[in-house]
Amino acid sequence: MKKIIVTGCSQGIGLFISNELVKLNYEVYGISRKKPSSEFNFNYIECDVSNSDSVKKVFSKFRRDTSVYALVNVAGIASMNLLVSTPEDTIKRIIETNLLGTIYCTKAIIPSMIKSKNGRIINFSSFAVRIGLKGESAYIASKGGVEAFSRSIAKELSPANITVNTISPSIIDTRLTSGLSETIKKTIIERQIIESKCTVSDVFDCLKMILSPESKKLSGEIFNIGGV
Amino acid sequence: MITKDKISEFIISQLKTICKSDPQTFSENTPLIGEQRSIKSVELVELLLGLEEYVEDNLNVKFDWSGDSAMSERKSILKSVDTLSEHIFELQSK
Repeated sequence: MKKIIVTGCSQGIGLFISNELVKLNYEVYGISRKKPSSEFNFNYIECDVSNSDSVKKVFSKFRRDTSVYALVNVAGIASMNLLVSTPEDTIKRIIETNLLGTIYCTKAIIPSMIKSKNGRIINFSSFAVRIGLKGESAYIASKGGVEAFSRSIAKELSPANITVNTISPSIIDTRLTSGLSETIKKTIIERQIIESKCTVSDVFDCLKMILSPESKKLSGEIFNIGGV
Repeated sequence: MITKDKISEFIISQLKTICKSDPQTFSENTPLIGEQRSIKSVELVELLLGLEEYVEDNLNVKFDWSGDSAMSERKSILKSVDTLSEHIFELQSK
């Protein structure tokens, strides 16, 4: 059975994806700081992705394992605030979780995937990067970093048949977007190519496409759900 | 204690397996990094992962090959098969 590791499995997109992947017969390992907030059917591992030692410890059990097919880096935090009124500790936490967490987990899974000469790494960005959403500058900096990182590491890993892609969802009703007013949400949706709200199912459909064998030549791409 | 020659032999046999689609001659002088290197970076990583397991299983020590100077042509233990064997041989006495 192929294994998939999903970070940020405690709620929102990460929790939904983890549960759905189990239904597709993957052996799913969901990792997050806290236990999932609702019912789950996957293997849960406690891990703070912003802490490199915590990541090394958790991923060491997969280092010799050649059955890990994919890593899905969903873990992310945001803070709707003007930069001038955002505490430095919050800025640091956002960058550490969203950007460094993605880098640490990717680095830690490379040995397993290089051994099997096959793999999919799927990172998460956000529509906010495209539109420069006001009040999310630190978050956008972290996600812009994820996109740039993904493109470079995709090139580094392509000789080992490992693809790296980024999913950039539009507005989805999750805890991360709960700070946005309905007016802002409406304005954002009107700017999309497909002018309707995205759901976690739309994100999962894109993920399934990237996981499929037919996507072996897709790498270094950013998939904007809803279209920008 | 495993001799340095045995370690070099293992590295060379690994290189032959990893590069079987592009057969070439490997020796202790084969450069592993830098402009003169004869293997791709992904093949180097594959070699090091194999060595990591070999060292852990046979020498019972940890082989950590990450480091700021890992890819430095001047300072790296990865300069050649010989420098890599030397490093692993010395790990046994630490």
